[in-house]
Amino acid sequence: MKEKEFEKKHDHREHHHHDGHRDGEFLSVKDLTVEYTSGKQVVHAVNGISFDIKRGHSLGIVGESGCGKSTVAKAILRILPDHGARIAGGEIWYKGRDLVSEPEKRMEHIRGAEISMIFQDPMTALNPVKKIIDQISSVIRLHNPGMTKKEAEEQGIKMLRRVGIGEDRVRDYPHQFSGGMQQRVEVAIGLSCNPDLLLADEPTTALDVTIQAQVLDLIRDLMREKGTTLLLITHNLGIVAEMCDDVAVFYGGEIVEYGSKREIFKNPSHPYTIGLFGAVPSLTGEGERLKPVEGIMPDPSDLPLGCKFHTRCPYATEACSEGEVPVVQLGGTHYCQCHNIEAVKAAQEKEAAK
Amino acid sequence: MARYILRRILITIPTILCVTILVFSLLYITPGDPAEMILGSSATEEELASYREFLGVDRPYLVQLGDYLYRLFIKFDLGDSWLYASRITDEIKNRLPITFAISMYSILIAVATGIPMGVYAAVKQNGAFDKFVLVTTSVLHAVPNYVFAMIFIMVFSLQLNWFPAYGIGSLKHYVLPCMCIFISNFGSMARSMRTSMLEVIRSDYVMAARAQGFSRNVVYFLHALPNAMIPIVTQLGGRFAGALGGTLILETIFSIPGMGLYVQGAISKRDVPVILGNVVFMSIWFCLIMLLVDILYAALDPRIKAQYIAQSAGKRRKRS
Amino acid sequence: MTELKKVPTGGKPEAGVREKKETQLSMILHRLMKNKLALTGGIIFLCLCLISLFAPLIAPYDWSAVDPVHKLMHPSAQHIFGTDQFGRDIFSRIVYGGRYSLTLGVASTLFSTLLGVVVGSIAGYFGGAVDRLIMRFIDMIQCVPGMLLTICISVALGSGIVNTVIAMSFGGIWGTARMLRGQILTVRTSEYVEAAKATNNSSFRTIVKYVLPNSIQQTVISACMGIGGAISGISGLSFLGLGVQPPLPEWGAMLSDGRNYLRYYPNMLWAPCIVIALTILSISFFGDGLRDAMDPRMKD
Repeated sequence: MKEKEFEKKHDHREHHHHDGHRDGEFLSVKDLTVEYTSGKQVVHAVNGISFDIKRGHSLGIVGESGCGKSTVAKAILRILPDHGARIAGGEIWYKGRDLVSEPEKRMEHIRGAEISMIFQDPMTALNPVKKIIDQISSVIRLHNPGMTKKEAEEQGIKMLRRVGIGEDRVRDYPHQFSGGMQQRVEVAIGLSCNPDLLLADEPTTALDVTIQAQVLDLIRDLMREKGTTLLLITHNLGIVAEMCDDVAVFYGGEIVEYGSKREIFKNPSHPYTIGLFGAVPSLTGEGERLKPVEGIMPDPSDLPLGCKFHTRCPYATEACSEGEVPVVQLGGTHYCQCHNIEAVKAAQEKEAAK
Repeated sequence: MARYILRRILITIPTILCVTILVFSLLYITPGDPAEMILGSSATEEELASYREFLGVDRPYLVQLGDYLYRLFIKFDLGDSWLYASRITDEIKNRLPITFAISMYSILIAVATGIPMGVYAAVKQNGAFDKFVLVTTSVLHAVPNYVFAMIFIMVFSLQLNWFPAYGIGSLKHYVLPCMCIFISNFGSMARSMRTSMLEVIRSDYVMAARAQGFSRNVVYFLHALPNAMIPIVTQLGGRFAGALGGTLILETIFSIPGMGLYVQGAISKRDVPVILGNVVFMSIWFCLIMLLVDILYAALDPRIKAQYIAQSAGKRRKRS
Repeated sequence: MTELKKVPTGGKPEAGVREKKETQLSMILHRLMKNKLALTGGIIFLCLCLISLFAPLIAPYDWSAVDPVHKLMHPSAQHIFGTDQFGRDIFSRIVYGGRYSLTLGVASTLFSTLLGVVVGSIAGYFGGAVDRLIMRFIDMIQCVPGMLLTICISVALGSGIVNTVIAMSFGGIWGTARMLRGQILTVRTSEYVEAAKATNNSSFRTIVKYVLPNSIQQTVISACMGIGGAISGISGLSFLGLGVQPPLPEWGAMLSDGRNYLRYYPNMLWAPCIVIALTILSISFFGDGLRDAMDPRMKD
């Protein structure tokens, strides 16, 4: 019975756009589906997405807020809320093991030690009534049971110093720090046990622009130092350009376009991706107005049929509002989930010629 | 911290003084002539006047107030009853232990049972137990305890004859009144614990703790519970602080010779000094307990201290 | 080749706001309707209100009709809850008593909420020394345990319907004021309030049109729940010999009356006990449901 299901999933995967890679990959997410239920309402936050990351590489998931990006990270760590949220299907292969079916005890050893996460808002992600040294050293001790309290604290102080927090501040409480400093603490805690994979959920969104760059630099340096793999979730294409090797564009719980950074930035093909680029100020195009993506995110509990983006898409045809949307390989690792790639391209070129 | 405590104590002193003046002034305007009330309508005008002088109620308001404050804060004397010879201070001294016992024990038991129940309900949110707790506590919390008292007397005392309905004496006498106080405290304790715990469980830092690899139980009991307890401490303080006044109706129903019955008797006879003395005593008790709670609160939650420091720093900046 | 489709962008922004407001209200109603416990509570409370409103049609006897021949009767077909020590029909007294208990409860909640909103708005909106002064006063007055404060005022003013409402509402003002002030502080510096101030609105207008609508939600919820507390408080006052006094058939006064006949005629107590409990429970369930419906995040 179990085997059959397994086969079926694999079967399904054959048709999907990421077929062909081996299960021995570092992190490989296949057909992941996450649902939130409240009462009788079912919200499809993540709808059968697949992607993978090679060891030491970094993937950026880009999309508007409310599109289910953070849910992906929480699903990987299996820390979705106990009530009303569940992984409805799919697999998360990590070092040859499927995290979806790992026992909870195993997951506890993986969380924080092998895979760690940095949350969006440092103000709320640190325990307000614990000194930061205690917060970091308790994590270190948890994953290094042999360590004494003193050793763990020393390790914690070392880690905090690495992110620029002097020893004189380590016995302070979170509220005594600025937002940027708090996020440094978060980074320190996240990397304190040398994880193999770091999930960063909008790590700089709550910070001032000047601080953003510092924190990003810090994350990048530490990752280079330790060879950490990164899954970065953001709505900011600039951050992706700076931090990531590959990009997944996320809309309505699906990945609508996927490719290397070069492929996506050179040749954005999905109308939504194009729209996102239209909303980024460019340094060369003088006097051009920013074009926001028209309309609003559809209600995730009431997603449209067919292509999820067709309600906002300026190129939508009748075919877009029904049935499955084919995934088209545009070359190399570049995939796009759209009916009208050609037409969009043509329209783009026409516009550019004008 | 020491400065915070000192400051908090310094605020308490004028508060107590103001509360006393407020209650005194409120009851000062009580209609009716105590001399006539005590001597009856047959007394002559002269008798009434001399009795008024004896009670001291013929003096101007401010003199009476000053005298009251002097006796209370210098001599620790709550004054004399209009009707009975015993001094109010002595009377309270005798009655306080009884009221204290029934209310404190009941509240302690309510805390000891209500908090774990609230925590468990929150942890198992939406489960059968949670729903059960939610409905029972809202019934227990909403229905006034004197209604329970009546029902308990009718059922457990008159019908089943398990417990005596009136007075004090044996341990059995305490069961019904304590149950009533327990019930209302238990309901609200379990409910607010549940709410507070749920709020903390849903917060980012609890999810972060899970993401760091702590097991569910460790996260719930070592990360979430201490934080969820912080608002409960204040509420608990309020419960203990208000405990003495909360037994008023129950003591009347169960004829328990505590402070509540004393006040009730005074109300029915309009013995104003007794009402005044008890209310002032209970208010001072309230202030002192809340003082303790605030200090405890600051020790538990570093953010409070920080607020205080920020406040005084701001003031200093303004001054310079 | 491809048909370009226009995306509906929605009408004027103002229309959008209106629409949102309406859907919010209907969403609240919708959620309230789905909550069976709340719905039951609401219906029971409504029934109780209707019963006391149409008391003359429902009550079989006059609430004050003394009948010495039929005194202290157990429940029977003629007197379904029996009669009291003067031979008055208890059922009729309960039905008429609702007029006192419910009206007094609602009226004192209304007054205390209104005054609380005024005090809280002034403190929260103007801030500074005014705020400090008001808050000091509230801190002080809240040091007198609630029921005792009410008793003091009730003793000072004497019993009676109006005095009871005054005594009961005075105690409720401060909690409301404190809560609303806190809510106002969170919206006071927001842009729309700044904009309202900048466009030459008077303070009064700004508070009523811009500040209150965005901060009063919790006050409304707690006022709804507070009715139960007020009814219980008033019955308690009457029970202690303050508040509303016999022969008026207020439920608390009836309890106090019936206590003397507890041993042999418990029917005199059961009726007011049950009706007080029922009223307060129905309000409490409705209030809980309303809170959940208005702010689903606060639920659970």
